[in-house]
Amino acid sequence: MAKKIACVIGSGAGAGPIIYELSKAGFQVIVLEKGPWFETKDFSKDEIALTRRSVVTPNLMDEPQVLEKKDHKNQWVAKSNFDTGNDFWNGSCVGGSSNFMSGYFHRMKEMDFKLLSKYGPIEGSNVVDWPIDYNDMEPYFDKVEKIVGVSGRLVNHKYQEPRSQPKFPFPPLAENIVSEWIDKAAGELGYTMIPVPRAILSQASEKRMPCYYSNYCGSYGCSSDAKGSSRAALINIALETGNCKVTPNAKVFHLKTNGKGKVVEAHYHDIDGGNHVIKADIFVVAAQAIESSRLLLMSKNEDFPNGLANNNGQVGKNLIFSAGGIGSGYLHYKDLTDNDAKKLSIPGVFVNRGLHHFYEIPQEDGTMTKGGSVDFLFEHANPIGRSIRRKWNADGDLVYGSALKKKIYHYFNDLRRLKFEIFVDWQPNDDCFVSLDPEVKDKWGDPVARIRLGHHKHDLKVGEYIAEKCEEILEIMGAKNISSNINGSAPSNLQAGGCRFGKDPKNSVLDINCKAHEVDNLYVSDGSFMPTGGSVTYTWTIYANAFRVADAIIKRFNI
Amino acid sequence: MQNKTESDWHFSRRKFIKGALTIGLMSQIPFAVSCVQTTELDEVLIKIGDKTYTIELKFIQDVQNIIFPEDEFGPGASQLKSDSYLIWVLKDDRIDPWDGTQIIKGFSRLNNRCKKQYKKKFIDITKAQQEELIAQISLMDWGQSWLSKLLTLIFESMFANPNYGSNPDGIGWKWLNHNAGFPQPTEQQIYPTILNTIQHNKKS
Ligand SMILES: Cc1cc2nc3c(=O)[nH]c(=O)nc-3n(C[C@H](O)[C@H](O)[C@H](O)COP(=O)(O)OP(=O)(O)OC[C@H]3O[C@@H](n4cnc5c(N)ncnc54)[C@H](O)[C@@H]3O)c2cc1C
Ligand code: SF4
Repeated sequence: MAKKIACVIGSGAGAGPIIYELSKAGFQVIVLEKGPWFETKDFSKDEIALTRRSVVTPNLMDEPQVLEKKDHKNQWVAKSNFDTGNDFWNGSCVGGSSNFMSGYFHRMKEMDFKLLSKYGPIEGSNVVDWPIDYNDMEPYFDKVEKIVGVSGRLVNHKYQEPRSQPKFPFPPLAENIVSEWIDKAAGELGYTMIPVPRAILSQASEKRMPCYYSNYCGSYGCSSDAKGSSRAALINIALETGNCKVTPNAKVFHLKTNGKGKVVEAHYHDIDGGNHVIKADIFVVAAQAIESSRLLLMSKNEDFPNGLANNNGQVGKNLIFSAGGIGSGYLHYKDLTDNDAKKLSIPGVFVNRGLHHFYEIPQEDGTMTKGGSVDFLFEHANPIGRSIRRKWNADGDLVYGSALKKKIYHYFNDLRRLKFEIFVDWQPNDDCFVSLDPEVKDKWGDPVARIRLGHHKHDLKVGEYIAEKCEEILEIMGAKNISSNINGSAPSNLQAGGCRFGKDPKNSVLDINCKAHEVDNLYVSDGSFMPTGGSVTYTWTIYANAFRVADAIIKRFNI
Repeated sequence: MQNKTESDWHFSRRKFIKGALTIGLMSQIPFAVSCVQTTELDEVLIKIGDKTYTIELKFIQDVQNIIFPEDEFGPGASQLKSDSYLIWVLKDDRIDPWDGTQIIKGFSRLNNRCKKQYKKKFIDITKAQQEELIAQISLMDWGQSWLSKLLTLIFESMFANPNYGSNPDGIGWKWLNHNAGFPQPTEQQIYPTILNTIQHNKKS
C-alpha cells in the first residue's frame, strides 16, 4: 500500500513530535517551513544578529502583525508592530522558536486540567476544563523527558506531579552557588525550592553533545545541540529515516478543501515569490498559535466562508499567553566574602530554582484559588541589552559621558542581578483573540494577523500575591533594590490557544485528538489546542501533546 | 526562559526615545539607503530615497566622544571605532529609512542650534561649548531620544564581534571583563551576510 503523505506546516515544538513519529512510522512527511534552515554550525553567540536585527525572525517591514491594546481612555487601539516594534514573532526557521528557548521545563499539574470544576467560574473568563486529564498526558510528558531530553533532580514538595519514572533521564545541570542561598532563604520562610527541570542535556546522548554552559542560552541557537530544540532532538532524527523532506522558505498561505470536508492541498509562497502546491492525505498545522489561527482564517472557501474549520466562529478565539511578570534584586560582591563573590560571578552555570509553593492560594473563605509558579534566574548575559538599561537614571533622564561609563563599569563588575519570573494562568477571555487585519498585508499581499491583547484582572491579583513572596526571599538573601512588575502585557514568546480542543464543536475548534471538528484530515498540533495553559511555561506541554496527537494519527491512518 | 515582557532585546521603532534601531531585511524597500565616503573619510554622504545628506566625520566623532569619552573608566567611542560602526548602520540597505533619517536629522538639528548660539559649526566650537550644547539638548525630548539612539549604537559597537569592524581586539569586552561567549561569529555569520549565506545554502 502506498505510504500515506502527511504535510506538516511549521517545524517548531508543536511540529517536531509529529515529524519524528510519523517519519519513523513510515509515513511520507513533507514539512513546509516558512523560515530558512539554520544548522547547528550556523549558530554563534552574536548578540547583534540574534537579538538586535531580524535574522531569525521576519523583518516587521515585510511581515508585520497588528496589535490591539487598550489606550488610557479604555478604547481599543490597533497599531502595526512595524510602528511599535512590539514583535510577536519568535523564531522563523527550521525548528522554530524551540531553537531559541531557554528550556525551563515544567509539566502541567493535575489541577491545571480541571480549572473550572476545581476552582469554579470567574466572571469574564471563558475558563473550561480540558477534555483529557493529567493521566492521559503523563506518558507523553515522560516521552519528552527521554526523547527531547530533560535534565533535573526531583525533590519532594506538595505539588509534585505524579510520575511514571522515579527520576529524570538526565542528571541536573551545574548550578551557581546562588542556588544554595535561594534554597536557604526560602527554607527560612517554609518554602521548598525545586531544582528546575531543563530541556537541556547534561550528558551526551546519541549525536547530541552536553551543555557547555555557553552563558548565552535564551534567544541563541545551541552549538552543542544540548538544547532540546525540535530541530536537534527530533527533525534531525526524522531526516535519517529517509521518509521526511523539509522545505524551508515555504510560507503556507492557503489550505484548499475538496468540498467534502477534507483538505487536499497546501499552497505556499517560496522565497522568490513563486507559488507551489503540495497534495497530501493528512495536514498538520503547527505555525505557533497566532499564525496557525491566521492560516485557518485565510483558508476561506464556499464550505468555510469564515475560514477553515471556523463555521462555529471559534478559530482565533480564546488566545492565551502566560500571565505574570518579573521581579529582581541585586547581589553586591562587596557584601560577600571574596570566595563567595568569586563563585557568584562565575558565568554560564545555572540558577535553576523554581517555587511551586503558591500553585494554589488559600482564600479568606477557606477555599483555594489557582496560583502560579516562579523560576529564579540570572539576568541574561547580553551586554548590549544590559548597557541600554543603564542609560536612564531613576527619574527617567538620560545619563551619558563618564557618568554613564562609571555606571556601566559598576554594573558589570560589582554586582549580579537575580531575577524571578512569575507564571500564572491567563484567563481566556473575549478580548484576547486573533483575526485578520482588514488593511495591513505582508510582503506577499496576504492579510496579517490582528491580535487583540486583553487580559483579565484576576491574573494580576495572583501575580502580585506571588511577587510579594518572592521579594521576601530576595530580602533574606541580602539583595538590594528589590522590585517587581506584574502587568497584563502578553509575553509574545509564550502563546497558546486560538483553536482550543474540546468535546463540543460549538465552543471548540479541535476534538480531543486535535483534529478539527469540521475537517476530516486537518490536525493542529502546536499550543493552539490549549484551553488554559497551566501556571508554567508551555513548551513541555506542547511537545507532549504533539506526541499524543502523533499517536492518534498513526493509530488512525496506519498503513 | 527569557520573558520578553522585559524586552532587553526587543525594541521599538516609533518609540524612538528608549528604543534602539529596528533594522532587518526588507526586500522591496522603496528607498535606496546608501552611503559613500570620500577617500579622506572626512565627509560622509548618506542617501535616503531622493535625499542626500552630508555629515562631516569629525562631527560624528565629536558627538560620540562627548557622550562616550575615553576617560579613567575605560575606552571611549574613538577607541571602539563607534564612528565607522554608525556609518555601517546608516549604510545598511535593510535599515528602515525612517530610523536612518532621524539619526541624520539629529545631527543637522544640533548644528543649527550651534550656529544660532555660537555662529559656528559644531566642529568649530570649543570642547567646553560642545559639551554645553549636548547638555542642553539632552534635556529636550528630541535631543534625549537622539542621543539615546546614538548611545545604543555605541553599545552595539562596543560589544559587537570585531568582524563587524568595531570593538577592535575585543577592547569593549576586556574593559568590562565580559565573557563574550563561544562560538563567536565568522565573517560569513555576521549580520547581514548570514541572511544570504543561510538562504542560498539551504534553499530546499
Ligand atoms: C527567547 C525565548 C525563550 C523561551 N524560553 C522558553 C522556556 O524557557 N520554556 C518554555 O517552555 N518555552 C520557552 N519559549 C517558548 C517556546 O519556544 C515555544 O513555546 C515553542 O517553541 C512553541 O512551539 P510552536 O510549534 O507553537 O512554535 P514555534 O516553535 O515557533 O514553531 C512555529 C514554526 O512555524 C513556522 N511558520 C509560521 N507560519 C508559517 C506558515 N504560514 N507556513 C509555514 N511555516 C510557518 C515558523 O516559522 C516557526 O518555525 C521561549 C521562546 C523564546 C523565543
Ligand atoms: S550550550 Fe547549554 S547554555 Fe549554551 S545554548 Fe546550549 S544548552 Fe544553552
